[in-house]
Amino acid sequence: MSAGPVRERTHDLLVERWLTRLPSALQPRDIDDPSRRRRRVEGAILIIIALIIGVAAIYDVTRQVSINYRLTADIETWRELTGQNFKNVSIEQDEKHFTTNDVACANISFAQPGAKTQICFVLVGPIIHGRRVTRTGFFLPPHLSDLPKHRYGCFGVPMKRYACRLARPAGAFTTPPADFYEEPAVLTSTGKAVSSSGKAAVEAWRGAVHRRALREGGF
Amino acid sequence: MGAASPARGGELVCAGAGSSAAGATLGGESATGASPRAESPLRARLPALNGRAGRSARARTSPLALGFALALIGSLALVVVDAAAGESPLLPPSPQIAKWLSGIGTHLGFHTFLICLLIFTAAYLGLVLCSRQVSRRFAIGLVAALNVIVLLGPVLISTDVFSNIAYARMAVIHHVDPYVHGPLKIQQDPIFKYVGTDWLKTPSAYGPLYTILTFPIAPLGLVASVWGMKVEELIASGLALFFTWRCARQLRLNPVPALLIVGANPLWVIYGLGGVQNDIIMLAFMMGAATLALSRREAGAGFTIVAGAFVKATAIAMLPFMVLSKRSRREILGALAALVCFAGIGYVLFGVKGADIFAILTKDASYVSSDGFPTEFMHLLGKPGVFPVDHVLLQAGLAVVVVYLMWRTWRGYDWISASGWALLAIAVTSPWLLAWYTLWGLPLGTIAKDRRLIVAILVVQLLFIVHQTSPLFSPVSE
Repeated sequence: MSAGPVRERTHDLLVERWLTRLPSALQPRDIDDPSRRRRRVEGAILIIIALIIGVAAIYDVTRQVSINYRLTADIETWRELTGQNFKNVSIEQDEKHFTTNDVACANISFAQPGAKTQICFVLVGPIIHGRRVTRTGFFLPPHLSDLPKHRYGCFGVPMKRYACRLARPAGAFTTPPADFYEEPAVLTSTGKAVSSSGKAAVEAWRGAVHRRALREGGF
Repeated sequence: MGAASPARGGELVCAGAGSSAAGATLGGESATGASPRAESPLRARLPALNGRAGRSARARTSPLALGFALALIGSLALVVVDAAAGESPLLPPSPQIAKWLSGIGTHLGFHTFLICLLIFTAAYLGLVLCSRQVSRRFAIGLVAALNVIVLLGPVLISTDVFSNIAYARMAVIHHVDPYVHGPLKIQQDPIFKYVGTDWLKTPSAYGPLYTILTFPIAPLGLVASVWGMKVEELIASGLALFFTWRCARQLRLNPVPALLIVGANPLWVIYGLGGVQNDIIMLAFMMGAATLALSRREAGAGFTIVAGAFVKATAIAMLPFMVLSKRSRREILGALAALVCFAGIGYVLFGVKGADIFAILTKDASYVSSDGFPTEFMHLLGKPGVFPVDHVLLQAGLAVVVVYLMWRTWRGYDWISASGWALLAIAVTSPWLLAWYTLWGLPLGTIAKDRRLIVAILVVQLLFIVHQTSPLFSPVSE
């Protein structure tokens, strides 16, 4: 390849005339310099980028799968603790501190998502037999999202990050599931089935929720 | 390389197994003004993407290619029929527009969708590799069938089309400026409840030309508006594919692989057309501009690129490469004429914000999606996501790539390839990556002299699809 510009054709004589004043190293060309070395360098860079994004994409799939397992365990734990088989259990991940602590919330009795008092559990730790450990929980008034100023009736082990700032509204339902005060291990170490005493506790709590909902015209 | 097909008495033959294309050159800028093109090693190895015009007019399509085509149609039809049954996490809340299909399928679940997507993708790759065994008529018929099947079904995956209808109705019916206010201003409008919750307060991110194109649809009823948008999308897809075909012909390339690579692409069909994304309208303008440029109508090409940028700003990425390559005042004058014309219309109709097509680029740069490659890379590094400093680094990296491509174009590199690489680089470095962003460089990739481009685009698309598959390996809570 000669050092000078290789011109295939000229579209605009005025522009081309002006361009001839440029130093030869800066002058435009019409045909690409078929440098093998450059092509190899470009190819190597492209392969490295492809490898990096390929590994990152596949790693991210495995990461998402593990998160999906965790979220499913959160939902199942919420359902087991409340005895309610609701579809719309919302899970909020810890996007502030990037821990694996999740907050699972849903109505205490059947209604449109968020339309009733919601009970929330903070779920921590690894998945054991498809469930996670619940350390603390709280209630949210209907139609409000999980913010400290909306939480009331905290129960379980106090956690500063999940503190309740709202005073209990008059007449609000604040009874946590009775089974919640049993050893959390009962829920997590014995597999999918809750112990018979746990089942009874869940039933008792559901009865209380049901009576409450009947009074409020929720069913 | 490529899939194999039984042919000629059991001999395994597929892409590129036929005789190599004849001719002394690989095509020039136009049929009349031939410029010699050096055959790259990759080009030589991927003859399926590289056949020459005149060699592609196969009378019959091979059985293997026919099988791939049936797999494409079958998997797509299953997605559409199941989607028509409604109530799926893959469907945005939508007015019932495909009632006649609703009794056939079952609700579209993640597993069904992803398995169909993977089958579609595998069949697509097979068909592309065997594209020289496909007749022109068959290729056109197949792509038309895929387009029509998607047209008949409900809107898939994205709520964007409802936002766009809402913007049109804001301007035409409610006389609210869609470049100042979000759809929240028209809460009483029936379209409001279908707008995605994330975009309720967001003004239109698209150019005034696109908004004007949606004006005729606005006064129609809710269902008719959605159909109007779908038909507009179908026309745009047809135009983009026609221009891609025409560009391939102008460059003396086989248009069949180009048509199949774009028109049967899973992200084009399922996400782009299925989601009624206006990126396809932008691509119709971009490919129209490429056709004009290859016909040496530089003023028209410059005008059309800028018109495309007034649909969606990304189209402007083509312009510097074309200007550097052609070095003519005509495309600059054409571009300026379009700028004056459409910015003026935008200003008259919508004020200053309507004329500012680059506002979206700034806005998009601040978003983060879980599918973005930068986000995935950060996860790999153990970081939770992309932070503002990473945005700056990515933009700096993109700037380096664009400057390098501009320099290369100045020194004779194919401007179509450079445009395609730039569009791919924008998509890959964007933390806000959506499926249809990976389509930006695709039609250009099929006609680019640098065949590494189309391979890179397909690899990026494949990685995007792989990234969608996590629900296949996860439990689904009922």
